[in-house]
Amino acid sequence: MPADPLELRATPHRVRTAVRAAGLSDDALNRALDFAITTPPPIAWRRFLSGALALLGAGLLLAGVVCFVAYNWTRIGRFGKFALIELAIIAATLLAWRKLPRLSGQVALLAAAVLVGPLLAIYGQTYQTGADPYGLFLTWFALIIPWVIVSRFSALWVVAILLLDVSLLLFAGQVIGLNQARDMLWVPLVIAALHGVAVACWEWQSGRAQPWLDERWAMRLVAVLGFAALLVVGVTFVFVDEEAGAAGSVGVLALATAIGGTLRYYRSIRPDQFMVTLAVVMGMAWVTALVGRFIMELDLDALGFFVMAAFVIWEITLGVKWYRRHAS
Amino acid sequence: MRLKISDVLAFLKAEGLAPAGADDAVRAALAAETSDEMPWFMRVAIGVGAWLATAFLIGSFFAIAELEDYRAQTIVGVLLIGMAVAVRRQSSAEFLQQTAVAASLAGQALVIHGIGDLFDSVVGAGITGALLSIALVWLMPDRVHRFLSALIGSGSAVAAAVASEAPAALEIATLVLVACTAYVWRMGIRDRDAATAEMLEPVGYGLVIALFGVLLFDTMTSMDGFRWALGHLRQEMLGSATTIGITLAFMALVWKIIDEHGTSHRSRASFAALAGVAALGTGALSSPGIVAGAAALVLAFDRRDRVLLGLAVIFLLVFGSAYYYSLSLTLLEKSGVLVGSGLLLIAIRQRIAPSDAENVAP
Repeated sequence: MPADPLELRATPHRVRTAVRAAGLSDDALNRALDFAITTPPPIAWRRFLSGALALLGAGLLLAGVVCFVAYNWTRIGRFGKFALIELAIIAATLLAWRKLPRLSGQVALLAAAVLVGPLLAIYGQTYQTGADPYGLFLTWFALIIPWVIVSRFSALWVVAILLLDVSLLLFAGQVIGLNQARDMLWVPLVIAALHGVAVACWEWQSGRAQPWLDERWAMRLVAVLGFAALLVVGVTFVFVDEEAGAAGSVGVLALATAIGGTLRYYRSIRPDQFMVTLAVVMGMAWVTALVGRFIMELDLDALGFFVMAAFVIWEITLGVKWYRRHAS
Repeated sequence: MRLKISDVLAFLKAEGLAPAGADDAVRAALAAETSDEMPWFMRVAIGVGAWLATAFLIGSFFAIAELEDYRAQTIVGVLLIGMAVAVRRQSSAEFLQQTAVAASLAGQALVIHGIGDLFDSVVGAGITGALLSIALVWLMPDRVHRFLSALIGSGSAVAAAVASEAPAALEIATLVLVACTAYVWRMGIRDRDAATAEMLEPVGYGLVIALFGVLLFDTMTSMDGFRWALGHLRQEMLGSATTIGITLAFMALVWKIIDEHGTSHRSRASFAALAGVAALGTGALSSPGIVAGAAALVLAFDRRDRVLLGLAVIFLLVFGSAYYYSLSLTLLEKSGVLVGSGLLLIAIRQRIAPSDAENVAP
């Protein structure tokens, strides 16, 4: 909620109110309405369409390459397979080298990074290394780190973190062989920790004179996934209790710490309403699960549902009131 | 992306139409508006909470044995809705306002279910839901509720259309949805009064999401993975008429944009833009979702709306993926189509991309 009314969205009603308050002429009102309501100027459209077409075109090209490789999988010899993918990676990298730091260069480097995965898959298939799939994703992640750094592209940073998440999940399932609840819960905890470190690093670099990345959507996405992982552990602990083991207790503590830390940092040090809302919503979700467990055990039938409804409404009310009081 | 009042004031000052000291007067006049503003993620959180509370309320009502009768459901539902509207319109207490939203939604569920049981008809339930939602958009002064009413009303109308098994019923319902979306987002915006604009803003988002939901459902009925569950609905689903309708709406939007730029409709750029939309519609005739996604992307930038832009990107990716996946072609042919499409888009991009000098200029 913008504290300064001038930061409000320029709707026709607000524009009329503003123009009247400033005592401006009818001509000024018409010009203001034209400016606020009409479509962006042609040069803005060209920039937007240029960016959109670049991203869509690159995506379609990549998908086409993947289909082509899939079709010819059995036909192409092993060296042909390597040559195809490596040529595509080299072409994308050369394009990136020419076009960086523009968007086309960043997209090209993203394409090159994505193609590293199929290259490793072909390597694993051709030489039958016997390596576990987690190794493919971990190696993929390691190989693209220099490009993630050079590209300064938020989307590529997110891809790298997701690769690490997948490798962790596969490692837990295939190497450690976790199959009990108390053991499996450690996996989302590690993922949450990883995401927490990623967000902390992002915040640290964003405070520099020339930040490496500055698109908050990427940091927020990583934070949402990290909190979701913690919430899974926290809610599991609520419903299975002792079966969750030490991981469950650690998860609840970690969730509380993450919520507290997020509120403190994003209210006082680096104001961010989205992050504050995220932390509050996660806390409310966990408390709702806790209350739900309690109500279930009382076996109140219709009354139990009614109590849950009232509790959720009370939470929403509290949240809205708190937001209105603190957002400005 | 979105324009703020400060941007408008800066523009007027640059045009010499506003004095330098106009800011304070404007600030004072708009001070009251800041209390109602809430970012989209807060509204999403409140909406999810409202749904959860509604689900629990519905559960509590249905757990009461006396409410198994359709007449009792309908009466209790109507009373709940009436009380909810009255409370929401009168009360300024936050708790009561949120309770009213949840109670209204629960009441609607009871009424729709009751009417459906009364006539033993999904069509009856659907029509009831659609009419209730239209009335409540007007009666219930709550943004989250209006958004949910748009969703519920659209969903009810679509359900009624599918259940009716009337020829082209779903196509007509979908095209009505497209027309409503076009009206809410693009028509008569300048002359709308404050109350109407406030009423329609959340409805616009609800309509877009509902439209994409219908198109997504349509896509799923034709996909192999879902055919076992939804394949029997395929003949009631959307055809080329929907794609043509959405394409025409898209062309109307582009026409309007060209108008506002003051460009002649006979110019090469205008012709290329309109022809491009027509070509997209022709190429994706069997997939209205792609045209709708592209139209939403253009509309989002036109209206400078980041939330709509995010929605459009997601849906375009989903429909695009589903379209290419469902093409009855070999992998080699698909790869050719994909690479060809990609190169075509990149070639168009090279043609229209502003030069470095144009990028530097304001």
